Amino acid sequence: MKWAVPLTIFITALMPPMTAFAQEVLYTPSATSPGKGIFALRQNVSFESFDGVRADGAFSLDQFTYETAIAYGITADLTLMSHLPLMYRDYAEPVTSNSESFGVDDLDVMLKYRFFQKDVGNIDTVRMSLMGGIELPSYSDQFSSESFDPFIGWAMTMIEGRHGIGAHAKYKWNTGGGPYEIEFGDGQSDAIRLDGSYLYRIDPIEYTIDTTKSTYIMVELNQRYETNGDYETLLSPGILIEAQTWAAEIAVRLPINQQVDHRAELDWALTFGLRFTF
Amino acid sequence: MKTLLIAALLLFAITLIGCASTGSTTGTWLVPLDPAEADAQVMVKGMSCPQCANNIKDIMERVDGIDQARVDLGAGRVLVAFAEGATISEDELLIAVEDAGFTPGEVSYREGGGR
Repeated sequence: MKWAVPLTIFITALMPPMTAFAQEVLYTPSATSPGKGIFALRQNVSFESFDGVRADGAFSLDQFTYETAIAYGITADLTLMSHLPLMYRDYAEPVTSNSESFGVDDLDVMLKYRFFQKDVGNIDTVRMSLMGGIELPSYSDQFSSESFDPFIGWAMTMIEGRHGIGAHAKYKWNTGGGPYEIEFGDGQSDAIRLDGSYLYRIDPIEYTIDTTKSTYIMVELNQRYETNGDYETLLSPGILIEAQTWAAEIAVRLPINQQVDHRAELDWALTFGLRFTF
Repeated sequence: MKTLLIAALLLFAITLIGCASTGSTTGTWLVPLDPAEADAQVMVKGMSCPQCANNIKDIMERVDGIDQARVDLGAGRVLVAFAEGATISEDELLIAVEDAGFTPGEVSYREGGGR
């Protein structure tokens, strides 16, 4: 659909960036919510390098993704969310006159419900959320699976002092897609994500009344399975700087275990994220 | 196109480094609320990060009659200044904390402050 690209750019440009996804690492969704009546916006830019072998031969490509995540707190515990990814692909091999493409990946709409919350101290907390939604086709050439794919998920966030632990699981029923895709979860098989994260506050050591900024180091293990037998494990170390009105993050993603036959292999990835509040 | 995208990524990285080296003092109020001038204080559990603090500050300041709020992450409390002549009940303060997604504790008022 030709409207998808301009619509996404339009929404992204008009959306006032507001209070964001607190203390959430890049690839492991957290159980946190923006609060009742609060809009949250998160924008990430990723670079990914892929290799693969399709029926027409071997290929390698670079992919840039500009993803906007929007969240709105319907209540303190119930959040409406959507992810809108713009993509650019550049095939390094084989080189043809048509080696570059720009489009919109499938977008999703979901609800996140926090069903468990135990705040045990000034800082310490344990929260769990259930998520459910649907991935909608963008009908963008070369990017869309052109199918409606429902999914469910669960997330847990635990903060204890300077330590933070996160876990996330997601199952997506794929109802369409091609026999060979670039990205995880875009093919005809169902896709399962299991993510774990650890976050450590390196600064400040202690919070005070004047604290307006925290710096964290983070590491994630991201497991990807598909019902066609493909699987991979990714290690994602990074840094997150979070202030009251903005946050910035950077992480690399490196495969440490990969058995992928039905889609392209990820060589490595780099993601920058920025969030602002005005 | 590729060059443009790489340039955008670099700009992103530079902005990130810039953010890291700059303290954040921006907000609704240029001068933070002096604790001695707070009309009420609400103890809060589960505020684990600066953005959590901003959530609760935003929601508190939406309450009619609240002029300014300041979060003390160290002590786990929110300090609130009322608009002149306003009266804010304990329930209103507790609901604001819950709407922000946190667990409220004890509420105390400054002697002579509005309630």
